Amino acid sequence: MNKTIPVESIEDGMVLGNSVLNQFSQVLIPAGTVLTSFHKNILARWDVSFIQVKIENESVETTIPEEILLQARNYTLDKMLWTPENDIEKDLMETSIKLKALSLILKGNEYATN
Amino acid sequence: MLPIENIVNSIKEFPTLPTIFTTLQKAMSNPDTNIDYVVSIIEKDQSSVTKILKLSNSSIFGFRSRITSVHQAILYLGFEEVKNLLLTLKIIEIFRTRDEALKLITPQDFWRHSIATGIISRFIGMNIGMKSSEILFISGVLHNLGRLLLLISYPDEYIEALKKHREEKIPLIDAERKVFGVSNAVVGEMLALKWKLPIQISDVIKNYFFGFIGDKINLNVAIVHIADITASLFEFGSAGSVYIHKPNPDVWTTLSMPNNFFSSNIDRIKDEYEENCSAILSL
Repeated sequence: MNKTIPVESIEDGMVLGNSVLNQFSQVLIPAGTVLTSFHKNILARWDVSFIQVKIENESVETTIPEEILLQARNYTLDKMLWTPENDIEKDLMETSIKLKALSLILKGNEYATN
Repeated sequence: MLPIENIVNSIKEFPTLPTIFTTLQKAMSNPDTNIDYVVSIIEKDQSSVTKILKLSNSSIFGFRSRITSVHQAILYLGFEEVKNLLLTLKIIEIFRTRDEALKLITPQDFWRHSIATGIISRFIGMNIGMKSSEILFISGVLHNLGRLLLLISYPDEYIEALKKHREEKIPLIDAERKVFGVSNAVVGEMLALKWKLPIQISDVIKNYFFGFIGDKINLNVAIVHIADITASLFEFGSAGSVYIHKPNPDVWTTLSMPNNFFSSNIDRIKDEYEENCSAILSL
């Protein structure tokens, strides 16, 4: 299971959960890399704010900034040709929004800047 | 509008299933066939063996990290499941040799959506306690076969369908009907018939968009209906749609899924999706 953390919270020995990609989807640091202060510094130099690290048996709660959540919500609602009418549809929509928000964070917020 | 005869001819000209699959199917329909003979047929195709083993060890098949040979895969998963995995891989292979003909979409994205639909279908089936969920993975992966055939055979006409989908904000399947006179569901069913795929799979291909077969409940169709919408909303790959249609409300009643199903399972679904995509699409 992966958890999203700010780059400044990287600790030696953490394992990268998802590959860090550049804008052309080329792998800069592959998933599974054992992170060190070297990676922490280079990620900061590349202006990467968040990464995903592997965790075990811990509930994943990532704090998503409000503005990112709003962008993700607007993006998802634009794509949907419908509005949720029951609890499971709301759960599906909110989960989609959260996934989109996490991908925005990990991609350096491409949607916001385009 | 494109004459339906043209589409029928495109399907006739499409390749038949590879010999390895038809040999396997024949062997399995013979009650005297033993497991060693089936293993020997599958092992002739080493690239498929590697992928079958990776998939067999995925937790969506319930036997994580225990299966190391085709023989074991058959013992744990059963003949039908292994046959379906091989069929899935062979059909993906047939289409992937035509990747270059796909000018309108990214083939990798298309298959990611298909695999995600298969994984989510299987996941839903297992979680609602369906007894025979074997067919769900392959049905989910193959639900969009007709769209792929249209994209490969009629790229110019498909541009028109994509344009209508975007400009009129209508489901892509409705845009296909406007341009081709038939939807990908009908085309996919014709291809399924040519390949003599099991009826459960062609039922899904023909009806996944509606979630029902006419007014009849069909669990496989209902599940793939929800899985397809979910994969699109989660942006697990893309089958070309920009806009996502509403789930059939009666399908929720049929499936009785818990209200927090998606939020409580998203991490597992995502892990399975990433793991299996790389297993199937590698090499």
